[in-house]
Amino acid sequence: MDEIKPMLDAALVEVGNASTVSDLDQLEIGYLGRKGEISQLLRSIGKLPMEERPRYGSLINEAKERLAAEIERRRNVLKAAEHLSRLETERLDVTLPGKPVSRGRLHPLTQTAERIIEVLSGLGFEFVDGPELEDYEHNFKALNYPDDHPAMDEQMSFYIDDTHLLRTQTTALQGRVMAKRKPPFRIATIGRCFRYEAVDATHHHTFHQVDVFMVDEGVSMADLKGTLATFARAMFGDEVTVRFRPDFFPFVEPGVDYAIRWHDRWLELGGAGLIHPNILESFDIDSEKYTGFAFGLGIERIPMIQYGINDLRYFLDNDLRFLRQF
Amino acid sequence: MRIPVEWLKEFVNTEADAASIAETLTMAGLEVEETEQSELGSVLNIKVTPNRGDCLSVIGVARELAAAECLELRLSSPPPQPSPLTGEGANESNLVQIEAAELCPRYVGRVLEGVRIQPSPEWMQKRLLASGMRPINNVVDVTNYVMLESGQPLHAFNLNRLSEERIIVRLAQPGEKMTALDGTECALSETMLVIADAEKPVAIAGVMGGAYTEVTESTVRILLESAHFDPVSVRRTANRLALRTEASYRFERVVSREGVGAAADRACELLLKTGAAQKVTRTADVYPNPASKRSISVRMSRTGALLGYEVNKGAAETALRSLGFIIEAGEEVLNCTVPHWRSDVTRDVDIVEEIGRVLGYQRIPDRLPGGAATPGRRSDLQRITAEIRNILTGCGLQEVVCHTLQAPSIMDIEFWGGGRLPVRNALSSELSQLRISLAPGLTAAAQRNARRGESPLAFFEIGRVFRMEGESIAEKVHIGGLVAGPINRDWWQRANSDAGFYEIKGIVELLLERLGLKDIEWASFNKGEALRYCLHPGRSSEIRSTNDRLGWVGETPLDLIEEIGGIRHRIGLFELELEMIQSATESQVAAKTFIPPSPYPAVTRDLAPRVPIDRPYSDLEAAVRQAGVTFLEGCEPREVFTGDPLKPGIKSVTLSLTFRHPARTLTDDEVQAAVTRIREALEQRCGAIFPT
Repeated sequence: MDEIKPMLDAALVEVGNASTVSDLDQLEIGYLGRKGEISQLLRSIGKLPMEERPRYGSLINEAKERLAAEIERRRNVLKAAEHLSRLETERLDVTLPGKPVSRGRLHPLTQTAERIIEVLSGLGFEFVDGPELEDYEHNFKALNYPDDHPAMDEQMSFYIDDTHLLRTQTTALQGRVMAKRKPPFRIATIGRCFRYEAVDATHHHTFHQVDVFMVDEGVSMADLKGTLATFARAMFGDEVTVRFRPDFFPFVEPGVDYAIRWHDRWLELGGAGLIHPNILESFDIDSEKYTGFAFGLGIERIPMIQYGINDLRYFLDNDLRFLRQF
Repeated sequence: MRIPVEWLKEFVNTEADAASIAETLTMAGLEVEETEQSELGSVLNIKVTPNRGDCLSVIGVARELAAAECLELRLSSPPPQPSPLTGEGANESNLVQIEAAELCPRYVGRVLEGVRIQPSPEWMQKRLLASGMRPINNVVDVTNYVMLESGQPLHAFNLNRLSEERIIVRLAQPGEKMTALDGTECALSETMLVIADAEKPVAIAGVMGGAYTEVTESTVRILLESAHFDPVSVRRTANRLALRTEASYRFERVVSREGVGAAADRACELLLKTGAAQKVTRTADVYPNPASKRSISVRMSRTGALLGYEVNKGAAETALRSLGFIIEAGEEVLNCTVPHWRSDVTRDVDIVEEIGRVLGYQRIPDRLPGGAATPGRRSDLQRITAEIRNILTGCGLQEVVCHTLQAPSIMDIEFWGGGRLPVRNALSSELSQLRISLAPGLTAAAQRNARRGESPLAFFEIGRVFRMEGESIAEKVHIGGLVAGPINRDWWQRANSDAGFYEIKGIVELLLERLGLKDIEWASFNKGEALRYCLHPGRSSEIRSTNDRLGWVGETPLDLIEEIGGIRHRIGLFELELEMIQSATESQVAAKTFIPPSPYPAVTRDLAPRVPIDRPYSDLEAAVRQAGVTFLEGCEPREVFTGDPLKPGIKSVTLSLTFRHPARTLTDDEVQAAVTRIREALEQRCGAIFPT
């Protein structure tokens, strides 16, 4: 019985001195394991007189519990320290670059087109696609261009044969739609256009346009201005205002050129107006009952304004140093 | 056109400076592109829209300025002398004869004698110079001066050189020729209107005079022409002869018939006043069918409905009068007589535009359209291409936009056949045909970026291509992709390897799977086909789905990569025709139905058949599937092995088979029986041998 206390004291010292979890595991086995010192003491109780056994037994159990608790406490301390030291050995240089994950980008023209589609869809416009290789009829004649009119000087195109040309304006879709649909309708189209022009920073033989038009009862210049203003604010910011200036396009009357006020400058964006009654009538639309508006603009113009791109040629050059910026 | 502000102020009494006049005119529809300085002060460079021929003159622009500033237009006072001749020589019938009246409805001729050629007065020269015209002599300068002032082109002939001293306006005869004033030899055709004397053409009507009858220092008698020529005829002739002049520019944009006489009067007045000529001796004004006045009535309610705000009737009347309209106002209607110089005004909307324009478009309010709501939506094409873009950017490909107009290229892969479409009027040989394939553009993009040292070279494009299909033109939407070198950037821990056939095929597989296509067949091209398409014969494949030829995928042969130059990697390319994908999708994609995931465990077994090396994997998979094991869930190739210890010409393909039953747990016996059946199928169908 006298040996219990010294043994416990010695064990506690040893536990306190254990410096690793595995040392501690060895101690635990040595004292508390099936063949450990405390287990042997318990087994030796049988040799004691009957009346001493309970007291002796409870002393041993107290010592056992005390030791087990102390081992557990010590183990937690050591584990925490070992965990910390392991974390330390796993330390990385967080300033090195991460493993590259590749994801392509959309071309800035697509990004702009997507934004336009989103805004105009929200205003109730339905997108329709037309051919890039158009016929003379739709590109000019259906749009109220008289034959051999000087208005075509700005619309020189590339011809494949006598009747087929690369469209000079997405407006060419208007006749295709009006031949099939009855008002009311709100239509928009986005696509590639071509002009017979030498290339420089502000001119290109290949460019992209959005064309927007609607026909309904009572459509006026005010509806046009409001729609344009809403569109322009969605694209360029809430403070934008729209200005009309008289201009001429055979397919609209009145015809205007519209500009937006952006960062204290007037920026001309494109042409607009009320759809010419000659056009409505040529598709059997009653031009007294129905009126319509149309407007168009160059897609390239938008990122050029937004990002300060100073040369139209970048858009078809596919230079990664350009494309990566958007 | 260039207009000196000083000249403009002769007709409008305004205090405004050049900048504010420029602003006013621009907002009235006459865009002042820039203001230049000259000896006469500021000169406005005005872009006149093609419908406003009347504004190709100082007076026309002055009228717009006066209307916009609510000032009066002061036409020259006193007005030019009316026809300065009566009695003998006046309205002489044989001086001018018109044989093509529909192309020349009016011709005024004046003969002036006592001509002394010398420089024109300094004030006239200054105005001409400031307007961008070179002074020549006192006769020619007067014709140009009056043209700039009134918009009516004039011409002076050396009368002594006109055979029989008379003018015939007629179509050219076959084979006729004429040397123009600028020295151009013009071969005339029967559709061209000419001014002729008794024998020969002496001018191309409305375009340019002839050298033979030119007014020179020795000229003593002239015939002055002021006429109206058909705009379309002048335009066609000028285009055919490639002669663009100040005169043809104006005639194309319609010069008023009614102003023809006044311009002749004004020129005679100036010629006499400046001493260029002594007297008018003969005159003619052939004008068989004078134009009738055009009247248009416009309702105020319609005006308001179109402009979007209620327009005051009085203000509308004032606006129109300031532009020269004569108005008779009713209760609700304005009956407008259109001034003769406004050939562009033909309908009520044209009058509405004039009212709106003069009152100012800033009055138009912002409003969103009412009416029936319409569902806004993207087009079907936009919907599917957005999805494709999303998938391909996710695969690491950068979107590019390449030219439609291209030079013919060895990379024009004519997989869908058809003929190429050359451009009839190409700007250059680099832009001489419409693209038939996206491959050349993608390759060029890769090449240019490779030369700049950029990477990764991984691109895609969605765009239109063109080909002839029999007699008709086919315009198709294609999806093309290119990968050269690793898609991922090299990293400090590891360099990436080149992408090759399997990488690009993996991208196409993912794309087609995400678009809902199953049962894709991949089949090598035969050698001839592959070489015709400029693809690597051993590393290229046609992509089919049932009967649809969706497209192709393949590597570019190494010798071709060398020929292209600039790219030091293998190039993998693919091209798909969207229409084909849509057609295959429609026939394949039934409405999606949900299949509940099986709660029972899967069992996996590997089989490693040995087969001849040229036996395609697709045969093995087909044999596995045809073995008839209903609970076979998947079959994947794990490894393809050749070489020692295998015999030459033999490969071992490790197949990983997954079995799962939807309703119960499979027993070992069932799985073993299934594996045996599959093994037998491989032996029978593919001649597979299994190592023991």
